[in-house]
Amino acid sequence: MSKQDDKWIEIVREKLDNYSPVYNASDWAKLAGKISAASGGHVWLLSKLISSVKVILVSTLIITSVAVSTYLYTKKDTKKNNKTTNTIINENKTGNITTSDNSKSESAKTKVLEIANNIDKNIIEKKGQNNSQTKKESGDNENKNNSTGVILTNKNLVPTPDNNNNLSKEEKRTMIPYNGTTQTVKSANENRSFNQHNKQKERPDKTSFAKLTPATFIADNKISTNRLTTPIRQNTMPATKTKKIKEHIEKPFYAGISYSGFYTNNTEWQQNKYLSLFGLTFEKYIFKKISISFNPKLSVNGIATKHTDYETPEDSLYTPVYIDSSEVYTSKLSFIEMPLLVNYNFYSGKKFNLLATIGVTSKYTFSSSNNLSDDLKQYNNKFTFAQAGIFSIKYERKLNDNLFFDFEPFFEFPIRKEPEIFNKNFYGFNLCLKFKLF
Amino acid sequence: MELFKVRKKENTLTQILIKCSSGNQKAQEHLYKEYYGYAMSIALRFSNNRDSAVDILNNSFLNVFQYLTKNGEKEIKNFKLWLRKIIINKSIDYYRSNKNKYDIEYDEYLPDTDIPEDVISKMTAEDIIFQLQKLPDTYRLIFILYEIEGYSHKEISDKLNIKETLSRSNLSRAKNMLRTILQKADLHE
Repeated sequence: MSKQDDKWIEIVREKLDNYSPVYNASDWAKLAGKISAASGGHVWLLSKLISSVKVILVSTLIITSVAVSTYLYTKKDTKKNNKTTNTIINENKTGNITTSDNSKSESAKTKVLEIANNIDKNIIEKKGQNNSQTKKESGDNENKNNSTGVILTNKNLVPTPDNNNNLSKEEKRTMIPYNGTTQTVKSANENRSFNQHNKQKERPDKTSFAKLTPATFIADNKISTNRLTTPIRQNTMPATKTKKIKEHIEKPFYAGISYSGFYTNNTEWQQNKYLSLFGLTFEKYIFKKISISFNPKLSVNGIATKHTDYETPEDSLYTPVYIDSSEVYTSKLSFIEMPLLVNYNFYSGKKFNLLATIGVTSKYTFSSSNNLSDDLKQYNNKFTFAQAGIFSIKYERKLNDNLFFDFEPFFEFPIRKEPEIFNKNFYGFNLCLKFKLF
Repeated sequence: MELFKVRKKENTLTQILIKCSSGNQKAQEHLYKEYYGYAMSIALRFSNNRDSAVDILNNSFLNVFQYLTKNGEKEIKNFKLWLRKIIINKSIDYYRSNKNKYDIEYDEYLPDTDIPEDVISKMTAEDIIFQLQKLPDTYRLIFILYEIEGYSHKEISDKLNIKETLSRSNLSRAKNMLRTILQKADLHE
């Protein structure tokens, strides 16, 4: 009995050991749903934490940017309003000096007078080092200068601070002609011109007091005459000290329209598809070379997917097709993408700029059309949310002062891997036409 | 050449397990596909229908993936044997959880009957599994554990939390019942 027992059991064992059922994909679909549910619960806290950190970082970045830009603007305004440092000087066509308003005119005069006074003092010191004969020549030359050179009047001269009514000839000679354009100051004994743009070439002999005109003194002492004579480019007077005025950093704001395209080759979707997205773009410079851009966009041709009658349709909605299904649903997925990017301008040319970009993008996916039964359609009301990181290089072409065209190839990598269709790297490009609003 | 093939397969398996450790769903699917036949055949022996077998199978693989994600693949020396043990344990868990639910009344007395070898030989594995599924859960579990998986009565008693004597008596009954079922199946054919 036992031997016979052993025989039939041996056969049963052998048959069972050699048996291998055929793979059924729907069994895996069930397990995939369980895995998603299990991993979703397990990682919930971590994902919440990461999301919170991201929100905090982005908020901090925005707040810091606004604060810094506000601070810089406030600082600039303070400087502008400080009468002891800067005064805007306008000039008219006749070369007369006028100030932008009456309140500023006094401080402008004060500034110019201070400079002129300093020049006078230096000249007097040098004058003491020369003999009286030179002084005489100087006086004669001055008369000639007045007769042949620029007409010096109270309107286009800046008086010395000593006493406007008691100006001596010597003192008058030190007055600085100021007509805003390139000046030619003729010396007394020779009609030698001194072009201030070429002052290094025509610098007069320092030892000769006769040649020591205010212009030459300015040149000798390396005082920037541009501040005094070329207000066309910078309509500002210099500060009391010869510190260079900090240039105004332009932080423009751009707005425009964009087009994005990328090619998908996901075999799970059983198709290769070129996706197009249209959107808006907003870009604000927060520093001289750093800008933040926001580029919301919408996919215009959704991704068509198929899925089977899985146990949990919610899981199956974004799951690829299995051919051995008894019932197949199709749905068309669309998504709204909201990238937030930080751009760094690493090359500024006359015609184009190059920028490196890094940022994050959020994709809100929804099923735009489907053939789901009514009881399953409820799952379509639910947005799914994917996040990805972006790296790109932006070529920014200047069409004119206010119009720009961008070409931006980008690389996207998934951060939050849901839904599954976005769980892969993407390569694509952005085209953008943007206008400088202010 | 054979050794080379075995090593290559081991390397491939290791790579898949490493990917599974990082939660790669593609790798998980690949592993599932690779061992589906082997694992499903074990699960079907212990279960009374296909759905139960799929539940056991999926719970087992879920345990495998969770273990890999948590601990990595380094401590797994023999994946096939490890997977087999997991499936058996899951089957026992499944039996425990559904013990009262699915246990059916059956005749206590079954006569000892002989079963010709040719009856078994001409049966396919699917037929045998189908007949096995007709056994009460307790009998089937003890029969499979003892006769097919090679567990001792001591081990079975420990796992099922029953006495050894009960394991022996249930095995005897299970064999008698299976013989009867197989003979009936042969007669019907």
